[in-house]
Amino acid sequence: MKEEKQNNRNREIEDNAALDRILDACRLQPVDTTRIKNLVHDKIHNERAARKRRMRRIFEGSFSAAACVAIVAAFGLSYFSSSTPDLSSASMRQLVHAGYKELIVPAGQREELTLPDGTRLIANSRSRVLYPEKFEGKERRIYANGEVFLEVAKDRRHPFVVESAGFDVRVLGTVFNICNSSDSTASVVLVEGSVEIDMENDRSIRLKPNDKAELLHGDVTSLTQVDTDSYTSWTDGLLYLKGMPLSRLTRTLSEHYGIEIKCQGSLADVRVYGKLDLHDNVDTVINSIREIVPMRITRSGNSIMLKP
Amino acid sequence: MQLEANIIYRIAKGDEKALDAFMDHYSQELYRIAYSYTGSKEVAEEVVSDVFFEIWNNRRKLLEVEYMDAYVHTIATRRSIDQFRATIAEKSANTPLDENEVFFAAPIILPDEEIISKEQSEILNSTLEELPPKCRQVFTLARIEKLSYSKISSMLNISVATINYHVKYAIDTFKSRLFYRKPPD
Repeated sequence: MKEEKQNNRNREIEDNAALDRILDACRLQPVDTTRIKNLVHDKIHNERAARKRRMRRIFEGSFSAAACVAIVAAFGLSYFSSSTPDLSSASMRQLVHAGYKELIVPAGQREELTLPDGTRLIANSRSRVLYPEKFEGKERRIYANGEVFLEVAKDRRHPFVVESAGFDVRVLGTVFNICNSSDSTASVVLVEGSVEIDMENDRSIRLKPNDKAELLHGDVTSLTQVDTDSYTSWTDGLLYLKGMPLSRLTRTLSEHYGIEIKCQGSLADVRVYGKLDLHDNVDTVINSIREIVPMRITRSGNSIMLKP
Repeated sequence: MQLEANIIYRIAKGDEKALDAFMDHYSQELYRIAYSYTGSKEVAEEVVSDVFFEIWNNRRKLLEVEYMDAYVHTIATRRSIDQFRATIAEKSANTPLDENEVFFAAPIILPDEEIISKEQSEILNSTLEELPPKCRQVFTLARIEKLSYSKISSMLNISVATINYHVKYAIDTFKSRLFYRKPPD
């Protein structure tokens, strides 16, 4: 009896082994992962190209059909003066209670998010954005500090307003760029369409495409015409230099990387041409500049000095 | 292939190479899900690419996902069912099939004659076809594709106990057909 049980047991083990051998040799039809990945990349790039085409149509002056409003704006939050960028935690809590969310972008990075109305927002290095969980009321209002690019979803009944340090930018259906720096200066560049800058003393000024308004403490100090590409290329992480003075470039890089970069003497007025990739670290970028402008570089602590 | 912890973070930041690694990791199992609802290689591949595209478009949400397998499998199943419904709607307006009964078996490549005889091959085939659809699907994923039971559990939304049951049933059926053993007295 015992023997028979043992035999049965042995046979069972044999059968299992035999079946395993057979099953091991079976395969399912292999998955064409390469094809799947290619399909995905195609979809991603087609979407990107379609978005660029929409933008280009806006640039070419047919804004009435535009569903996109690109605002590149850097401006200070109205809740605190631009010289004290730290929020008091009390007002932060109030904002949070009011259903506002906060986005903080650290130095050298970019962040993208979608606002509750579908507006697409890209925030540049060292920016801070406050936006509500839901847009309620007559206007769609957000606050931002730093540099922000917006593709505003079209909604004529609810104007989109970006609040800044001492001035508001009211979107009237347009593509524009706002940038302000920590020294209370700001600039608004209009690519296409129409914006109105509302200042504190009830004055307002309307911009035409290619206008650049410069502001100091919330007041417009100058109005010029510019090449808008230079002001929007950062959304790709690239900086197009078309004769920018080095002094201004070092200020931009300082803001982007969060470290002090200064140039001395005759270097300040040198005009730079070319393209920089802001994804690169600061040393790579400085070295790229040195290739076109001879200079000496001294680093001490967290600052970089460029000397002729 | 193990999914690195910072792949998810990199995808959320918009790194397409990280997306590639993610797709390498999940393509196979998502394809199996999609195929079982669509029965077509091309359609299943298209569905899986839509799944990854959707995940990419919502990549910031990835950082909040706690169970990545469940997240990915759910999207794949939803899209596969949607695709199945769309196809059915096109074909027959009068007989809507219950999607719970839909099942397209993944084609199995049988071994060469060196491993098993032609006779055994035929028995293997006919036994597979005889198995109830869900049982065959579970058995195939477990013993031929050799996915872990926890993976299968997530993919098909069934318990490990159920998987055990299906696999045992299939194995017993195979053994009795293939090996013609007389039952013990």
